[in-house]
Amino acid sequence: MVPTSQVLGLAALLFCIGLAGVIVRRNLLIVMMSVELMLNAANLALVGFARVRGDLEGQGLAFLIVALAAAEAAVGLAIVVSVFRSRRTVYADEVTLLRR
Amino acid sequence: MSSALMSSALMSSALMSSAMWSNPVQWAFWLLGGLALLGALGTVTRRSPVQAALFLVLTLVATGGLFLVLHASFLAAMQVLVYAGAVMVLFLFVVMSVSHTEGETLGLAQGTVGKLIGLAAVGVLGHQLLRVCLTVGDGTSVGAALPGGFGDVRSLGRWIFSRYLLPFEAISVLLLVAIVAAVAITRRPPRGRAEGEG
Amino acid sequence: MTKTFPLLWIPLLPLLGAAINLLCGRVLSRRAVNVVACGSVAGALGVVVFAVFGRLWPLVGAAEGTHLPARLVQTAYAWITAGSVDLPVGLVCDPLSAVMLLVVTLVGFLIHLYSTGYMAHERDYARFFGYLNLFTGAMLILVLADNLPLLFVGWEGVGVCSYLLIGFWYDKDGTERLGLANAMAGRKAFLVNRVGDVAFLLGMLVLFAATRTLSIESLALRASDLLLPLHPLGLGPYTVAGVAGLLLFIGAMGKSAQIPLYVWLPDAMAGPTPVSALIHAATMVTAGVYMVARMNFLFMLSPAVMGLIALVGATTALFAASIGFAQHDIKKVLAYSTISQLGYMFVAVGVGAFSAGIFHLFTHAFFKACLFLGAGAIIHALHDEQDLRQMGGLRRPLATTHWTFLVSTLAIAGIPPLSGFFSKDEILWRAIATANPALGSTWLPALLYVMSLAAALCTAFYMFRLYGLVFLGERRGTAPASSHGHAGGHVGGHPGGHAGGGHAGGGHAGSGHAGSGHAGSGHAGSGHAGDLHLPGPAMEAPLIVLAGGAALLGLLGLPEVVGSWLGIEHINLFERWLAPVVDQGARLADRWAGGQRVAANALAESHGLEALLLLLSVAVAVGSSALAWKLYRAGPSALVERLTARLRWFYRLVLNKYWVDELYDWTIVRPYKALAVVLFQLVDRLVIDRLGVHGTARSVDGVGRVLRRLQTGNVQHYVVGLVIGITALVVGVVGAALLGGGG
Repeated sequence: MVPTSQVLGLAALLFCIGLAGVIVRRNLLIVMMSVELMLNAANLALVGFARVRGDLEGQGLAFLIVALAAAEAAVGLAIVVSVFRSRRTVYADEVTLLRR
Repeated sequence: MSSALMSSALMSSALMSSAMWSNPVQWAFWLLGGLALLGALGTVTRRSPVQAALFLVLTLVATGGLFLVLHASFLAAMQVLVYAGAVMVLFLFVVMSVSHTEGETLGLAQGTVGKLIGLAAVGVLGHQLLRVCLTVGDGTSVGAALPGGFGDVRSLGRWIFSRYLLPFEAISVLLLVAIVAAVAITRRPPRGRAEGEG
Repeated sequence: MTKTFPLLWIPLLPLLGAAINLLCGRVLSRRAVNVVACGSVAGALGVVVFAVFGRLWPLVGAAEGTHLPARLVQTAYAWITAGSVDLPVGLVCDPLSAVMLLVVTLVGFLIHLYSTGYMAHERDYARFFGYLNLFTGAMLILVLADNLPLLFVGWEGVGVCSYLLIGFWYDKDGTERLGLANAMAGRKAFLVNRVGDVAFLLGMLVLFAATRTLSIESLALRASDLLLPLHPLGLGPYTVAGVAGLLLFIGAMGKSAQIPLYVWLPDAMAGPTPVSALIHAATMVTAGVYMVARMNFLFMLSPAVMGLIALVGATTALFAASIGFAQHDIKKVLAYSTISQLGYMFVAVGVGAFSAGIFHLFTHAFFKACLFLGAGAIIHALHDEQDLRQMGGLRRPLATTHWTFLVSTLAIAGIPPLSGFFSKDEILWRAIATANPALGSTWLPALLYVMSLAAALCTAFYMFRLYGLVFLGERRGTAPASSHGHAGGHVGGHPGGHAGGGHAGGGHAGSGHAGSGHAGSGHAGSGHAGDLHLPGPAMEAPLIVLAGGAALLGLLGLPEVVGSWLGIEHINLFERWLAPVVDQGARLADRWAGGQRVAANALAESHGLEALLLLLSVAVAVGSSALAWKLYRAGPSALVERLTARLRWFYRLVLNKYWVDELYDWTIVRPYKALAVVLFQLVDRLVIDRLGVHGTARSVDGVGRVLRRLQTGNVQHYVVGLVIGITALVVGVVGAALLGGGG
């Protein structure tokens, strides 16, 4: 018997930690990991809702998000690799081509 | 992070009110939740990407456990298999292949102000979210009675292949596209050999 | 009695000619330009002659006795259709416009012909004829218009052509006539005319506001609306007719060079002489008179404005004539003479004698055009010399010019039986036997008469002074006088030279004399430097025709008193022809102004007085002419010197044109320029340029400099922006939800 508020609060904390990571970390790989963290927090919230409501809507959505996260990771990491190849760096603040 | 402290204070007050310390499910939730938080903090604070990845694995596995607690057995399996298994392996592969494992200095050069502002915004956002969560969750509990087999492969599978069929197929197409895209992006231009990244 | 007729062709032909000459003139030969320019005007003349004598004439006969004027009309196409306004391009040819059409196309054609000789050496040949054609077309639109906006189109069209032609030699360099001065003269004419044109426009608006129509025919039917009271600028009440009439008259003042807006016309002499003849003597400047006659019903409803018109006209006539005494430039004398004669015309229309005014317009067009063209021939012969003090003794070498000039001088001086006598005398008689109730019972008619007679005296004097200085006596001036032998030789030689294409052909252009090469190939032999450049047949033929008109056309408007002697009723054919149109106003005024109008000024019936005054004016004209002849027969006589010395202050006053230009310069032009400088420096430079234009650019630039820092190119900074946005949304939504839901 877990109070709903605790599940959602935990999800919110995880989400915020992930977001902070996205903002603060320079290493693109860790930024991507932080993104995974955020997605995971969302999943946790969805599963929590599914549990409260007693139906599977939330779990189905979470299932789709897992697949989405996998796709995101594949493309994102491909981009990181590609950036690394051309600029020999994985630091976000050294990849500022958009500025020009 | 002061807002986070405040939030945890709020949360502990909520815990005090719920007189359920004897419940093992509650204990499991706390343990796993604590691990997840620990892993998350480790992920965003470790300098080495390898360490960060390992902490992330901790979080993911802990979350899988939480899924079990929340009666999502199939998702828990998926979490461990897909996330902790496939995705994190992919991450580690990339971390190894880009090979710059030396620690990142916390860039206090340019743009730090922007990042601090961003952090402040995250603090405010977290505070608001926690307020909402603790308010909304009041009174209800995750322990209501559930139908048998809730969240197992059968029920979720039936559910996915009936009502969620179209999104499911769409997500499979998306995965395919992502795979093709990943290959296309990482392929070396003309003379280079195509290099499989994972 | 209205019939349709394709009148549009009349203005269209010259406009087509203008289009051809202005657009393709550079590639056309001079001969082709001649054919297009003269041919288009000749075509218009042909159409006019056919329309007037073939179609309008029978209608006039049929309409005799009815009060409906005979009219040829055409509605070319819809022009302005907005709400209740429906203005077509409507053309109308009634007896009044018929007179103007004949003048414009006939005199216009003659002047085009003359110009082919006069402008033969000009570089911008096609441009000149293009403008001239454009002018003719615009003038014909003005004359034919059956509504005020269309008339205004023609009005502005002739104005712009006047501007273009005054400044025609904008790039001419030389010691005296700098191109800039020419351009400035054009600008002055244009700006002074703007003053009048604004008033004209306002007048139209007043009429439209009161009657909701601008068609002249409809306006004539709205007399009740025209008599409504108005309170312009909180004054009044005045009638609509009074206010609109005054404003339209101010427009006419500008166009027809009346005090105080006459100052542009003398300066307009900077243009080529044929232009002065056509635009600034025969046609355009009479547009104001024509407009007043066309709107006679309006003016007849406001006798006070009519009185003002007559007074302004008389003052202008006398004032300008007195300036004519002392001018040294042959064209300036003629310019002031034109202003003076226009004054006469306004006296006529001001006292309600519209047909007399138009008659003077008609005869004036012939003798003044002839005088200007003669002056042009003289200037041409003397290699652009315009100073009377450098002339003299031209009677023999310029025989044709001399005779035609003499006829026209006699005409303008008012010597019977030439045309000017009849038209001017008609005006003098009508001034005293006025039909204007505002003047009728006061001493004003007498004043008008005296002023007009004095002006006639001045006119006769300065015209014979001009004639004497130019043609009589011995040749003066720095240029060596031409001996009779030489001149004779040239008279003999010139037909060959001109007929051989020396003027029209490429000989001049090819030999590099295009600018001022009068001494070029036209005349064989040596020693040309001081020689006369004699006019060719293209220049002499128009002179003869115009002089013939100046001599004979007066017979169309013989005074009634002569008719009573001969026992013929309605001997004044001209008045009879115009009566259906110009009596419109009188009938209207009778009906609406009740018994106010002095129906028949008692004096008007007195043939004895008319005969007496007739003799008086003959005596004045002859006496004044004789005096001038005596004084200037052999150049300025010693008596003249003594007289000018005695009346030194008056001489200087007149010589300097009463310092009116200086007065305007100090009271209007300079303050205006100073204001312009202030506005330029303060408003334009500071406010608009520095604050407005540059300020906008700088502020955008500055904001950009600041905002550019946000675009670091660092992905994470963009994420910060995203997070801030989301946070703001969440705070808002949560705040609202907690307030609304939880309380």
